Amino acid sequence: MKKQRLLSLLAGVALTLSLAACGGPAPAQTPSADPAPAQSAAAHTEDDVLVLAGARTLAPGLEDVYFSHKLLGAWEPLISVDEDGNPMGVLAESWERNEDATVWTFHLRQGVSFQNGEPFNAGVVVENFNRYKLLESGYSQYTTFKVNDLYPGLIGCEKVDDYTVTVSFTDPVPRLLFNMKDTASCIFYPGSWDLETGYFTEQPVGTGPYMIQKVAEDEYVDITAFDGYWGEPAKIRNIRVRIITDPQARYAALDSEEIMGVLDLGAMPAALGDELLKDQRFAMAVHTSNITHFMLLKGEGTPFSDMRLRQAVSLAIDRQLIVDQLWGGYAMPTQNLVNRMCPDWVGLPVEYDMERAKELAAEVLGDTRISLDMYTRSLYLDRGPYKEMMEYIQSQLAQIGIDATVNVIDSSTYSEMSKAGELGANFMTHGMSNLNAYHFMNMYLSSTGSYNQSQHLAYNNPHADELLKEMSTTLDDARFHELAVELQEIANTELPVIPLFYDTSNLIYNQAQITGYDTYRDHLDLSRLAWVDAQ
Amino acid sequence: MNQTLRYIGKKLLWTIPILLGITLLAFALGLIARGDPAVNRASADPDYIPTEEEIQALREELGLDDPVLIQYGRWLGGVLRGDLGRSLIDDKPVLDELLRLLPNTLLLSVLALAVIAAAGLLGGICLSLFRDSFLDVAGRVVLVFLMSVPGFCMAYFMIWLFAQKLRVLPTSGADGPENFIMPCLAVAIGSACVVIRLLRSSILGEMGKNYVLTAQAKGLRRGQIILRHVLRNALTPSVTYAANAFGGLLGGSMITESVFSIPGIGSYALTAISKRDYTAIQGYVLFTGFAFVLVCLLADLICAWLNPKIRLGG
Repeated sequence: MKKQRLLSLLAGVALTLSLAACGGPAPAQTPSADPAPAQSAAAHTEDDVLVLAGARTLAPGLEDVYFSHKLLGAWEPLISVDEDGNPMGVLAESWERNEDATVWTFHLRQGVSFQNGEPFNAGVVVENFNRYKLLESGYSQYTTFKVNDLYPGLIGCEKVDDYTVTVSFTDPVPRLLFNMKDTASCIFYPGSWDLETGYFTEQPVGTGPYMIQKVAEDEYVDITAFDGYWGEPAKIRNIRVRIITDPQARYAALDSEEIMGVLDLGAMPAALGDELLKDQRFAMAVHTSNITHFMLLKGEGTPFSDMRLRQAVSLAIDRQLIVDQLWGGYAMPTQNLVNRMCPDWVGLPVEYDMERAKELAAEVLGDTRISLDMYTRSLYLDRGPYKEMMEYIQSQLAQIGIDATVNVIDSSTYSEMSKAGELGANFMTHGMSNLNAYHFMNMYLSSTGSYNQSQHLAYNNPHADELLKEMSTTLDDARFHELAVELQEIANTELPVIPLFYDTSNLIYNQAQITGYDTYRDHLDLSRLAWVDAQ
Repeated sequence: MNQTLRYIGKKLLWTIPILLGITLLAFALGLIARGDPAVNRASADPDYIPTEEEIQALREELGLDDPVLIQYGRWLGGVLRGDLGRSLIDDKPVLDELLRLLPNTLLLSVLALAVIAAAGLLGGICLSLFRDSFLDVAGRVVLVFLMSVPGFCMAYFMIWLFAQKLRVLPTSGADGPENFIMPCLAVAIGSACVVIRLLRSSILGEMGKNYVLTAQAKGLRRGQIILRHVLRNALTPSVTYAANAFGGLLGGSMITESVFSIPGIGSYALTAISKRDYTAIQGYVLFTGFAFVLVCLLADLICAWLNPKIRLGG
């Protein structure tokens, strides 16, 4: 009996000690509110590896037509865009076109080497255009490469001299430079792809500031600075980009300084980001994004084919409230179809007027109440408080005679329901990947536009069709802009879709340890990142 | 010995119709569920809406237009040749992917089984030794509490405690053995608690039997009686339970793998299900079904060894 008591006592003491050990963190490791202690560690050397994390892989591999995301800086395009959304040369230094925009001449940057030491020249560009021609619908989880959309009527690319090429088309392509942005003009060293399919057969080599050193599938990708880079060399030599799928785990990894920053889409939900920002070690780099959040109403065979009812829905939504209360203020309310990063964007009013919304709804519905099934994909729940936003809109719509339901479905079910026209309302984002106003507006405003048809919007405005037709062929940039503005105004009034707000890219990083997150252009440039206390 | 071998052979033969049945069921369920792998593959880029022609071309390429039984038969033919087919979404060979991800899942499962076994034995014996004492009562309360905590809550709690506050373990990843400590505990704690309770009650059940009275009459101490005589008889239900839990773990712990960003076959199955990747689902079901049958067979053999009165039968 005594022995039993003794053992009980010992077990109790052991339990108490274990709990006490768990309860009190070591003082030296306590996250500090002051950034100074974090800097007190030994200065970082060139060999220290910077660890960042995102929610998805940035190097999907051979199955993806780009092999890796542009963010990694392993490859570069001929053309990108500047801060105003205007075309900017990367591997192409300058360009000109003939009068009817059927032949474009590109003058290439000299003194550029691939990461294998081979020179970049006109021959390489010709080979890459030959590859593009194979990619009718090139698979990528980032941006599908559709040669016929990006280079409509492409005849081919020819070498003029070592650093000049011409690209010819059967018909005018006046906005070609926008189409060529980033992924659409990615350049790789020839020989790494299948000559019949265009897909890579081995890891491709690019000209970017970083080389992909190791890809641990579903875990991380290691990149190392390329010493022969033609531009400003990378400040941190070795970077590991980890995949941490769970947002709470990314938050914990940042807080414990296991990672120094997050990147890519949905890097940190606003609520978790705000929590981290209470600690002075962390800062948020907020940048405009080409992504807009939309509500799409099915018009085919529904009362939403009536413009007044769409206007009523739009007027019933207080976008500013959504942005302030649910997105932490890190977004911009909009009613404009076109993203603000597009150089042809124009500022248009955003209206919230519940009384007017009720009047318009009553004109269409009378005393009848209608039901509306609203859907979104489960993947959006990781990117922000989508469900809460839909529930807010549900409560607003109830006031104008629309009894809405909120449904979250997986992507497969979504695709099938969308195809079958079973989505009463669809909440989604759409990125304006190439900033070509025509390309984007044509999808929604044209009576034969891809989104207009696939989402069963049933929007039809012959005048908009005419304007779009002119837009597609005009060679006059000023006229193109006029047409873009007029179409934006039409969309703002007639609302073929209901834009809600422009997204921002909110990247949290440890400002006590690294700098360079705020020198952000179209995307985070890893080569600009540096240790605060670099030796 | 012959009887045991016959039993193993019979069990393995039985796995064939079982596996056929479960793969057929998985195939049928995949077809009943809404969603089309061709649409999913063509819509990998969320901003791109594929045309009807593109989807149709993909359906033809993937053989999705063929009658269901032909699709199933084609897959089965491949399996007989050792080929589990290619993913309908990313075209990677399913077998290669499962083998790539298996080491992580296996490591997690084996570590978890070790925790379940060690904690189960230690806890079960300890609680039965101190029956109705404070330790026993408090221990049982703690066990019920731990059993009631969902695995993902335990995972987040451990991340907060060990990674954020104490900074002794990494939050996630699968780089080294230290990455597996928290995931292993997250998946093992619940099952370990069940085993402790099972073992405690089995031991106490055995304690009232005549052979224990005899041992007591011979002057053996309580601890000696439990360890030398009772434990072997009391282990059977715990072994059966632990084997079932291990079989389940071999199928991958989807939530734990997802929270701790461990690429394992659980997360592979989750992605396959969400994208209606029938070939990947089939491969997963076949693999986990087979693993489960093997683990159960092993459990039966262990139980028969522990208690020879258990007769191996059909």
